[in-house]
Amino acid sequence: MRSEHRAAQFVARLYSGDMTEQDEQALHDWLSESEANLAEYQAALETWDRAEALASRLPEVNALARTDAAIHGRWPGLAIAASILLFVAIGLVSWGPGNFWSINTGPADAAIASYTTGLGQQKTISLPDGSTVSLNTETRVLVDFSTKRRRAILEYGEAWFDIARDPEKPFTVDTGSRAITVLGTQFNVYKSSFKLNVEVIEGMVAVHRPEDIMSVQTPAIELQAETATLSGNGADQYLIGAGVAATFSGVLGDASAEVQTSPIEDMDKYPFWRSGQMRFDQQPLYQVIKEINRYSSRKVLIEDKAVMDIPVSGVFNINEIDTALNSFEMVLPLRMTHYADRVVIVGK
Amino acid sequence: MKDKPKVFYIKDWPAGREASAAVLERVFREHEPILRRFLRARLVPKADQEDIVQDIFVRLAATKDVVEKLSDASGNTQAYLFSMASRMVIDRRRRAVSRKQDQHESYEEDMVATEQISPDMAAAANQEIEAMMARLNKLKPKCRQAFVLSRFEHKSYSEIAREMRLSVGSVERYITIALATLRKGLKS
Repeated sequence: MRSEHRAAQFVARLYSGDMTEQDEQALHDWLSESEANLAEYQAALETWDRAEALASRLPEVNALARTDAAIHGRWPGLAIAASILLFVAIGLVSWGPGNFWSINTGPADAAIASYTTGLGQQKTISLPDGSTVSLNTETRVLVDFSTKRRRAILEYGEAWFDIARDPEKPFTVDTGSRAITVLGTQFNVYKSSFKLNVEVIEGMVAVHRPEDIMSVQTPAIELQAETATLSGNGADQYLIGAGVAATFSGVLGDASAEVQTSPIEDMDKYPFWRSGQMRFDQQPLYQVIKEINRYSSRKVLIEDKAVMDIPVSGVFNINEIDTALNSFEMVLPLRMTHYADRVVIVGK
Repeated sequence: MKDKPKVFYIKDWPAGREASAAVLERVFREHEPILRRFLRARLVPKADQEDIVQDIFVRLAATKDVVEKLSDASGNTQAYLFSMASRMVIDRRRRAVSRKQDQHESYEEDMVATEQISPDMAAAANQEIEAMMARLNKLKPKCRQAFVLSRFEHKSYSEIAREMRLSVGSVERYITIALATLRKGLKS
């Protein structure tokens, strides 16, 4: 047998998890036979290692590997006043967004490392300090652990941060218009065109100007877990504790700046996108469609003002958008037309 | 034989994670021998093997929801540990190479490398990805599927066998062929 093939066999056996003592002995014996065998084995290991580069192109890789994704769905329809509660059977998502296993190591290979997800893709990064950062669809995060500080830059998109406590080294997320500094905590940040949404599950974060450093001396407003709107130039620093969701708009210090707060429901399952789900609780259809369009290349358009505000509730799998749309059509007064590049919704 | 301190005796477990200690102890007991065999087969120098095993469990200890993640993983706990271990091995090798090249660099933290990425390196990395995608494309469908499921979704060979309706032996054979084929394109 050619040594390249034997080497590949050994690596395949190694990663099967079923390598026995006999296998190990056989490997040892084979490696001692010649330098060429050792070189081939190292090359086979290297082949396995370097395939990691493809991890950044996971959607393409997955598409190559599988020709069809099974769509499962069972939903009971329950009429509740003007809105319909829909639950799509969750079932085990076998691949696609929200897959826990797309993990890459952090800045072990660069002073500043960048991570990008494409449409519908998700990725989780494990940082050297034990923190993790999960990226949702169409997101780009840079991580800078090069100096004696911990810094991430959210260029665009949405990310969930689970930061290991380190009082010596606060972790800062720079979103351009504002910076978020934490000691150690769990929170979600969604940067969209005109708004910055920050939701904290554990611990506390401070939102401040990027050029400032978070400081206990700076006057700060602690946001509460209640539905409210504050003018955004009331303070230089906002503190957000667990259970609070805050949406910042406008430029800090400008009269138009605003902070909207609300309590976070269901702290345990949050954020849903990390388990590959979208959840809506009596939200107007146009908001639901806007959220769906973040994950779908085939955009959905509502062309009938009358149906824009129909309240929708339910839990859907991010990678089963067609199933979600079908269920809308079944229980809501809508008609959908599917074109190659878009879906159009009008009232029935 | 000196009794090395085991990582699950970490003092000051993060508050609220005491329950995880029991799970991690069990994982450690169950998987340590297999993990060590893995490291030996990866040709890791003996001196580094102990360090890597400790590092893995330190990192696990710092991971939130590690109990849930490991319970979900079931047969894949192994795959999870193997992939962590693989990355640490690569990491150490890379830093060892760097250290030789820049004698005056000092590493204040064990886990942070200070390699800079130049535009040339970025372009080369991109080329490598394209070349690999092309080679992956050329693989026979079954080889490709088995390889992708194992390499990127960290599925066990039994899981892959179930999904592809094959025997475990066939899965291993397909992955072997995939590896041997991909290796051909590798520049030494």
